[in-house]
Amino acid sequence: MNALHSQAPASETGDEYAFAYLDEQTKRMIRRGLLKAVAIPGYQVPFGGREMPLPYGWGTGGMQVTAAILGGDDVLKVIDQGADDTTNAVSIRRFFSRTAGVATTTRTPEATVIQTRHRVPETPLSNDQILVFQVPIPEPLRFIEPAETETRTMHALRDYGVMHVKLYEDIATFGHIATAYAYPVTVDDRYVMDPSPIPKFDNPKLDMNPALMLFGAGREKRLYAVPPYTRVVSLDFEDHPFAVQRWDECCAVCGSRDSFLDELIIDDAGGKRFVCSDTDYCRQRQQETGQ
Amino acid sequence: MYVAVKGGEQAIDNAHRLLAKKRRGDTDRPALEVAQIRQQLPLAVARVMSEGSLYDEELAALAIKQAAGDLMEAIFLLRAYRTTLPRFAASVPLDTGRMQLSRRISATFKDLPGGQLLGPTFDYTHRLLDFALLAEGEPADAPPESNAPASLEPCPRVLEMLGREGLMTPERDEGAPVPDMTREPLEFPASRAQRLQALARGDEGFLLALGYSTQRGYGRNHPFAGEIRIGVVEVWLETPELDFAVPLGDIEVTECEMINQFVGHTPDQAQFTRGYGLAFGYAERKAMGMALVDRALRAEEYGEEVQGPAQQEEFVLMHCDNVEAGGFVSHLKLPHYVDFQAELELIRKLRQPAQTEQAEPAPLEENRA
Amino acid sequence: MSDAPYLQPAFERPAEAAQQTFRAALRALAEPGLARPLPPTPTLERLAPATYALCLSLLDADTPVWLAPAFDTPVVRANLSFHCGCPVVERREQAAFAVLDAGDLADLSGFPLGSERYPDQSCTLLVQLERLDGGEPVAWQGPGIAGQRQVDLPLPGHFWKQRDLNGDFPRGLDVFFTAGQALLGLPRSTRCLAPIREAS
Repeated sequence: MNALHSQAPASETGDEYAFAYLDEQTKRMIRRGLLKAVAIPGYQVPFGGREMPLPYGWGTGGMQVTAAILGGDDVLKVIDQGADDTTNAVSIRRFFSRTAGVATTTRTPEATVIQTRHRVPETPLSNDQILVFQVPIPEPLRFIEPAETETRTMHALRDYGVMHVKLYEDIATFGHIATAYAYPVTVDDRYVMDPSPIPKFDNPKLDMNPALMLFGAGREKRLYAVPPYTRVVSLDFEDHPFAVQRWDECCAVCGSRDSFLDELIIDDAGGKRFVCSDTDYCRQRQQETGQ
Repeated sequence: MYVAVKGGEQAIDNAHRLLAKKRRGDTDRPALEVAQIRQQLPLAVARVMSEGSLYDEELAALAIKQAAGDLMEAIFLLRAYRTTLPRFAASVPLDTGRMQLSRRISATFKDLPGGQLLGPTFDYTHRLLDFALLAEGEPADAPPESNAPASLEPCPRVLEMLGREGLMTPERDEGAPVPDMTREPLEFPASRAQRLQALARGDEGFLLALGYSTQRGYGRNHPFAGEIRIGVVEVWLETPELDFAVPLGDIEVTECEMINQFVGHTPDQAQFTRGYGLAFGYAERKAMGMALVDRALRAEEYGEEVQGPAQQEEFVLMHCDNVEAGGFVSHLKLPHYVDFQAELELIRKLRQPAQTEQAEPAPLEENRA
Repeated sequence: MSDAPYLQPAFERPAEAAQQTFRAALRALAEPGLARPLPPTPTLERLAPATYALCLSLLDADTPVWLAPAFDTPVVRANLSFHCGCPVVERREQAAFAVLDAGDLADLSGFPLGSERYPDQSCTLLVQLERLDGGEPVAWQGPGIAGQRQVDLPLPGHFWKQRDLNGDFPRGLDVFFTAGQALLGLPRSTRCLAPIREAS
């Protein structure tokens, strides 16, 4: 806590930043947290989150995780809402190519590390990839119980009754579970986890995924993880089984009927078009179909 | 064929250029010097240093210039810089009793050892716009012939005097290592050291409002401004290499000690309690707000009923940081079309049976991030 | 001792080697039972390269470490202190990390297991072995393993009993087994079906 450190953060990139911005001591702290997160799947590990040069809420948790894991031979992809070209994705990708000098890509299969906000790529991931999620509110019980002291006890006691009550109240009121994104899951039959605000469409992709999935919440200072090949089950009821969104339309660009579609309003009369939210998936399909 | 919005890179570059232009204003006017900001906006500099958790007047002034006067943005800039600095050591606790005072007032005693020293303050100014300043002139009044030169003699603190009489609940130094909330995340319940750290970095407006709420009955604690002192203190450091402490330099701080309602198991043990506030620079409002909230957060320690938001530790500490709050509120500007699409699909699905049954759909749950 | 230089070399390129070691460790824990190679690292007395690499990449002033007697020498202490800045503690209860060898596995009591509320506040064990295979196969299941994995670490039978005694998920010990330049992870989440000896 006090003595001067021998492991000084050598600026190996040769400029004013440490590699990937964070100093070595901070990276070590985050790395130790990630190891615990992996060892206790779905459990939220508190960590000494740092201020990043981007605002809280804009991906500082994901960025700290990415900075802690990234190495010189990684290939980084950053997506926001499934797209590589949204401004925040561009901004974060630039940040890492500037401070870590790593190669970047927009192609899902080429990436070794993918930082994402609100989507899981449509292209299946491989065992050699790590998916890093940006998380705004890591606590799935937060909207039922605002106090951390209480929610921590609920996790400790595996007391998730309130969550089921809440979902059931939805059914009583609306006839359906009225949660369309950030839909809670149970990880390896133990912890209830917030999968971050991905649409529930993406929830099934978390189950037994070959890729390691790491979650970082910067403002709330929490890390959690789902190892590869881990059971991830969306909460539901026998008479109201979990179901994902479906569209009557297909992607107006690539014709996909299997991907998550963004709705675009194309004229003043409220005319609509639907396109893939995953821009790389859409591009791959266009190439395949020769469009 | 529809082409989705592209060109994020170009848009960002353009936005940066437009911002630079906005910040600079009319180039026929000379650019503001950082030294001018440091000298002529010292209270803005103080706030940025306090909430930015870094005592560096020049960098705070630079941050204010770069942020085009947006103090929260400046605080954020300074924090993001601070985060990259190595942490060498914790200083010896500041001895504010040895402060070189520029201002010192007590609302609890008319006169007291060390005296009242009004110093520079807005308190008794009439808030009338000074049109001489608009005409870029110097203020009408000549500067005072030295306002009772700051005494180098230590000036005893009011609460210490009451303490010697046994009238204040004593504060104990547990001798425990000083926690650092920038390295260890807060756990609840938090220690008082952690609470005070969080409040010292906390947003002035938020602490002011919460402090005010205790005065209006949301957790009353009967405060008296026992003492407010502003001045320069020395920072000392003990290093393992040396057997003695060495001075690192001087900093200006504002300290506020509130005297609050008494506690005691029996009447003859009754003692006043205390709320504490400390901020970098000349920051009286911040220090007072902090002291009120510090005392409010001690409700549980004194067995008081928790009635108001200011007394709820998790509520106060998790929401007092304006860099966190500003970031999370502003992130609503980021695209959320995937989540919104999910909600659209859901609300349409919900309305289908409702339309056939002629029932009104109930409002949806509040949106999440 | 007289001629041996007290301070020994560590990572040649600290930031890079620490990152590579961490990634191997992350992967080892994420996929229990699969051995992973580590970047070349010197030995430190009895600390094998893999054990030393884990120390160099994970330990610092915030991580009290407990050394089993076989590793607790002035040179190891001096070098861990110099290169990592970590305090070496006398009591297991204080340890965030512990370095053991196969001989220490008969008793794993005393290390912090974390609490129900904070199971992450547990000790991580670095257990140095001669090799990472050749023992009796044990079937591992759980997160990181698609189906089931046969792992044949050369471990004494009482290790599995000790692991059961010192873990009640989510509380428990996470283990990195090391040998030479390689490591293999065994997080607390892995369910191990201890070998059943033929009764004959």
